[in-house]
Amino acid sequence: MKKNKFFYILAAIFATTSLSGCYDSREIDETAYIVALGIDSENQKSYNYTFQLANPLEMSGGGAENESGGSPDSSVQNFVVSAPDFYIAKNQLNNFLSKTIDMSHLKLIVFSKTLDDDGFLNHSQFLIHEREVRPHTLVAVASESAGDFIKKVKPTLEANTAKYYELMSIRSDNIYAPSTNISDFLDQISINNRTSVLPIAHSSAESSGEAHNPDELWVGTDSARIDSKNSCLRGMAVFKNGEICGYMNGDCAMIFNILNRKIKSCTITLKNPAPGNSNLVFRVNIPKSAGYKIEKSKNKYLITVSQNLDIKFIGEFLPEGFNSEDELYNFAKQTISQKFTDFLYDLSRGKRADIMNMGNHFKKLFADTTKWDPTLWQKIFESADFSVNL
Amino acid sequence: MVKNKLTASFKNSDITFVVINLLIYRIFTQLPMTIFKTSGSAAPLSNLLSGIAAIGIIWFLTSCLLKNINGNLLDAAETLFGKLGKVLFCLLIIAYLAVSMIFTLENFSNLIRLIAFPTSPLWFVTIFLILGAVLGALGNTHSVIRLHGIFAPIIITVLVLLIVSTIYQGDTSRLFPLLGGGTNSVLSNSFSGIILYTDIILLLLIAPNGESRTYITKTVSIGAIFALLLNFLFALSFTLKIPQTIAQNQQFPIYLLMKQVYFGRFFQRLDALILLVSALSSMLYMSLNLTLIFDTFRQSLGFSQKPPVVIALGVLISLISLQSYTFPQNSILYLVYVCGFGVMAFSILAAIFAKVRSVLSEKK
Repeated sequence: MKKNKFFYILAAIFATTSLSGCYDSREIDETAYIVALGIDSENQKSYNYTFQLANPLEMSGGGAENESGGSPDSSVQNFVVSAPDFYIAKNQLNNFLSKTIDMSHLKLIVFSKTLDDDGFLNHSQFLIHEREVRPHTLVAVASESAGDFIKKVKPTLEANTAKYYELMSIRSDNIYAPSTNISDFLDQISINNRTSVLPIAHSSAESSGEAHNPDELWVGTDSARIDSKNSCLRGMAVFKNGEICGYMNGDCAMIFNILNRKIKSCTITLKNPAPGNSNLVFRVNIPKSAGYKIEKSKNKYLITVSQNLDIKFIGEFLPEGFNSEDELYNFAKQTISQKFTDFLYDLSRGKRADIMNMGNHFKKLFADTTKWDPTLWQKIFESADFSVNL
Repeated sequence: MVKNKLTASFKNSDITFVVINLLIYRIFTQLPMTIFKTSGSAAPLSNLLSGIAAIGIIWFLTSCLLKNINGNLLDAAETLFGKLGKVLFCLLIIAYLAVSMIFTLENFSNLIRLIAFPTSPLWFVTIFLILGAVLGALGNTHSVIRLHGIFAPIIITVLVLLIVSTIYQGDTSRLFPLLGGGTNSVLSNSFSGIILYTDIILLLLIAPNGESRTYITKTVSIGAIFALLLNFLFALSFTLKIPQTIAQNQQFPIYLLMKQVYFGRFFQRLDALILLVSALSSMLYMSLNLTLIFDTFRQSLGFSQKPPVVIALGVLISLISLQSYTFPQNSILYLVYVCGFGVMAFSILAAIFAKVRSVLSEKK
């Protein structure tokens, strides 16, 4: 009995002394945290990687201001490395940094729009397989250079750049841009028709996506400008077969967000058809995401999109040119419905990319994958008619 | 007949928790991933079917074997097939337990290293786990079983938290087509999925003398149904949340799912809890496993000194586990399948014999 007790005490001492060591310990002041990564294509064989590293000593940790106009953001430092691939660039960065690189705080990955399809796919694969990179890291496409965007980011009302990126990515009220994470993006551009969308990262106040038609009753939001010329996420880049097949403006991104219920509410501004009257503003609540119904008549498919919207006019009085509230709301529904239909036709005939994943609804009709043919769906999608019911 | 010493009365609740841990600890290993990769969108359905099949087998084994034979599974083998049959069965059981332990130790070491110790050597984690398992096994079996009653609820809670945190954000379109690669694929995956439940055999080695033996089938069934539900929900959560393209090159499904948990900036990561429960679950299983290997040795070869056998086994299994990278790829995994299904088939055969014998004796 005594022998047993002695053995247990010895084993306990051995365990506590040998297993409570500091393997894998990482001191914060010995670690360099990457908070954002920009990937630009330099030429066919090389990429420019812009690493934005946090400078913890400059972060006060609270909500301290850095609104000194054009002064550089001292809470981060940027390094540009040209290399044939991401790992070589990371190792190269490690060569001249005294600290160990850590990617567990990576919040934003920005791709250049000039990257080839392999560039998007390979980098997404590399990054998702990095142990420290979280699957919900936000991904974006830069309207110009990814490096420029990262360098020009000026966190407003936020001292900590990493926190700024995180707040930008997790909030659900970014109406004019989609929010796509690295895990979903990789999945979407790897399978089936390889379609996806990424927000466009603007480093200046330039226009996003396609120009708005001024004759439309729908008032485009692209004319809105931020005076301070801050960087922002607005509009979306559409991917097909792993590469960018087109761009869409903030309004289209809003429709995309509504149909997918990525946003819960928004406002829509419409022109009053009666001449000389001010615009009509409607608050739209989105109780659930759109439903899809696919019907075949003769040789043509009709895709009916049903979107339940709770539309409320913002205004005390009935605007001129309308005799009743019903007339006003019918006008709003018709205009919104037309805009949604145009959006769907643009996807079907213009971009030829099923970013709404309607094929997934069609897929439910099949019992197993042997009977489901994605190429057949692509043909149906490109030739189908669309009808939107609000 | 060497009488089994493991006849101390266990609480039925403890037995339930032993059953649950035995049937869910493989969630932490790479075994579910082999099924997820081949099943695709039909993974939850395959998992459900293999769970239902396993419940049927468990019910059949406990109701036929334990009710008709006095003692544990080894006593049943001796009664039904004689001494040679018992020795052969003992060898098969020892082979299964040893291979399963090597596989478990290797898997858990890699998982824990992946979660928390990426730059430390693998032996560091292996020693940590095997030390816990050996120390647990050196105590008496009652203590190991009682520990399940304490720690299994923690493991279950964390798994439920993981499932709840991921399932509601899942993409339901990933469940379609419902039959994935087709009916044949679903059936074959359901059959191979039974491997997740083969460790129930360990329970039959303990001769589960619950508070009331009459209720043992009920006790085991409750635990098994609960474990089946957890396994199914895990498969469902994984399918809803993890894209197939990302799962293809990964080993541990729980690691992938764990990374998906996101509560915003509040309590952002579940890693620490998963790390804790994976260590607990593996140590509980391996302690029980070592205890039963020793007990099987004792009953078949007459070994009586527990510490030298358990320590030697611990060292041997750790060394093999650490050298497993030198073996042909997936060889340990295939051995687990072969031995697991072998033991289960033998047990079912024994249960059928026991049932037939009981019916014949009743007629006489």
